[in-house]
Amino acid sequence: MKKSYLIVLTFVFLLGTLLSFYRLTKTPPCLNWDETSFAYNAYSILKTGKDEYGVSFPVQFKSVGDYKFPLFIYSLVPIIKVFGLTEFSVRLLPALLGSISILLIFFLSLELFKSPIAALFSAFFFAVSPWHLQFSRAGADVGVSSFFVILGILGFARAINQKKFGFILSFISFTAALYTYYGERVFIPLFLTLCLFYFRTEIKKRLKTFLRAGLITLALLIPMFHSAVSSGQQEKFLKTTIFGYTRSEDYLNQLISEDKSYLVTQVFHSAPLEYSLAVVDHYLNHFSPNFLFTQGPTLDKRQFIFDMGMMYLLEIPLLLMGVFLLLKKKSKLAIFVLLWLLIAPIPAAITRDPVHARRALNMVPPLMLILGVGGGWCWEKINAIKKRRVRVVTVGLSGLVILFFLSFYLLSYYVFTPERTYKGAGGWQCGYKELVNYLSPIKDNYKNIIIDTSYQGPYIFFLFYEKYPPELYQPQARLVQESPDMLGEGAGYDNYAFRPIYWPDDRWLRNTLFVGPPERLPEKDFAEVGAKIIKKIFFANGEIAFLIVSTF
Amino acid sequence: MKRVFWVFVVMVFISPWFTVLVSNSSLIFPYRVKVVSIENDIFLDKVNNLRGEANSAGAGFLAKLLVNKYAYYGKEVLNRYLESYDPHYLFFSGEANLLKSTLTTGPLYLTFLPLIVYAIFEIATNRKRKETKLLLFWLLVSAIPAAFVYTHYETIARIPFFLFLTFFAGYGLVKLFSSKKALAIILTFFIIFETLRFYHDFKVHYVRRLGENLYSIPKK
Repeated sequence: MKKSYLIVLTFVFLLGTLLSFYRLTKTPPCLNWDETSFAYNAYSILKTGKDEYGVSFPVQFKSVGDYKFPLFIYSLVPIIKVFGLTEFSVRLLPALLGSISILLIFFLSLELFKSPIAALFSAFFFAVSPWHLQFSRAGADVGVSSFFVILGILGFARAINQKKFGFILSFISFTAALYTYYGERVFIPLFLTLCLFYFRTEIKKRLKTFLRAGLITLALLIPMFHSAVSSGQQEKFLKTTIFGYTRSEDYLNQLISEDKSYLVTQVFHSAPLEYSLAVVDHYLNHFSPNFLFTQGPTLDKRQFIFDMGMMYLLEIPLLLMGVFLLLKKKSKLAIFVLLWLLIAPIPAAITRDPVHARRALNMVPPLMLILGVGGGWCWEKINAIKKRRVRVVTVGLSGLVILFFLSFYLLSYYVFTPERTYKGAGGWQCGYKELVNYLSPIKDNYKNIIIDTSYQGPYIFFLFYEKYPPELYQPQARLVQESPDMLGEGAGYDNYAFRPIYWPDDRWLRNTLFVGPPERLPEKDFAEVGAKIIKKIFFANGEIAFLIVSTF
Repeated sequence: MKRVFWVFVVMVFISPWFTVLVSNSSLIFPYRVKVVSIENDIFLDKVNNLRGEANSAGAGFLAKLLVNKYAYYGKEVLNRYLESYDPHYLFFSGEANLLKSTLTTGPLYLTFLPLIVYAIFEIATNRKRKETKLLLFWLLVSAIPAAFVYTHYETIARIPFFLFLTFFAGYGLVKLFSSKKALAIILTFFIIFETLRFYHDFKVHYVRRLGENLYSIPKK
């Protein structure tokens, strides 16, 4: 590889690393309950070898009833050992692997298209990709699994190009991804089926190596088989996917009464038909310009970047050009990238959310590879301009346009988005850290402390920020789920109780500290029952997050 | 091309947008359009709010460069332009206004999508047919009028766009009949089923939905 390419690649990698790590613990503004749960379970493993419920070295972590996959949690153990149970510890690994993924994308593009220029463009677009940064900066399991998927595909591409250790690298990486994130259990089997069919000739040439790698993988997957059919995973499957959804009685009754014929209802409104249409709708939503370029996934505040999509608007022409060039090329590997892109949103499409950036994160690498092809083509065209001045101006203008969009993204990500996503379980659940810091030193002064669960998951934040000894929590751990369809809440520990506050009844409890948002604790009643606000906890924008109210 | 034309005509007549607009024409027309304007209060308020947030975060200068009414006007227009290509809108829901959409089907049938994609691929990769490539250009251009309409996902301003898409679907179907007959027959069957499903919804369920909401829908 030319020295100049190496210099550019180093620059791109450093830029991506800077974007991954800059203000890592401050933006996103707070840890959410998934992050704290990952971290506390890792802490629990570190201290006791058991999860928060006292299960020894589990293959799935019950957590808040969402049965988290194990690899990310186990990989946090040494990090927490070194850096402690801190915000930085949770976010370090996804950010680090996200940065390394930039290099993987470069080598993957090189392996597929043999063009260093296209590979550099791919690496650059990946390094500055809002979609990639969104999930590598938050302490998300998907950020880790995405790294393994890219590594796995790089290994596969090397194997197809008859290079050594390709299959084994690929299969071990895929196995790691399968142990990290739920969506990969849909994506990877689909992807491997595609590869088996599409590259059958190449695989036949190295059948022995392929089978050997396959056998090792099967052995590594044995612990997963047991957990995959467990009741917890079945519950998770039904909770998340469209297959667990049942149409309401009211809706069905209305259809039947209007249709006046059972046959007509069955033909035009059968459940399989409506669910299939929903899956197709969800699938296509991931290719919608709204999602990709202008609005993003507006329903989920943890995925959302204010006033932009998951990609930059400037990437539209490059993407179209890239797709066109790949189709025109008609090479096997070029078409393979398009097929990868087409199967990537399937794990997201079968879930209940209309569009989901996290579950469709496997779309990012093929999109960036395609952008690289488009970018490489533009670069060639610019270089073909004979007049040097025109060439310089074109490059300068292109640079300014990229800078404009990148700057807007940074402004939106660091300033505008936190202002709109700080609150509640749908967002970044801010306020708990300040709450725990205030309550922890005074908790022994009260008989009971009741913490409202409106913002969801308080128990895990208390465990995390108090660094509560896991060996003391495990015997007290109890998850309360209103229905199997819903995530649960830790019931409490010591004198903490985590439950909804119902003020008309609860206000008569004596020597109790109540903690909740203002709508749960109406100030006008306090004088009547002798209650007193002892502290207000605020969000960063000055809005009240929690009232801490004491009764005597 | 003659066959493509007749297939196109049939496809237009059976399309949901055509049926709904024709049946509600007395409530919709004469059509008054509100245009997106650079002096619109919504942009100005938004720009001012965002600049305020950026100022208090110490990014005032950057916000001045990036968040201004020109940039936001461009963004709003582009948003509306790209809405035309939103598959959820085109094939599943349509405009939010019940007078112009049943809300359960898009302006076009879902089966048109593979035909449109096939036609675009055929045209884009066919080097010999220069005039058909012009159609691709017109497809991009025909979505422009809707980009300046204030209402999001507005149907009437997108009629030229629907016509081009339907033409592509017709072209795709005719081409498919000459190359992959079995697939073309299957897709034709799907179109027939979708048409029946749409008309069933339109005659049976839509009437109730429209009746329930008629007084709350902005007309004309």
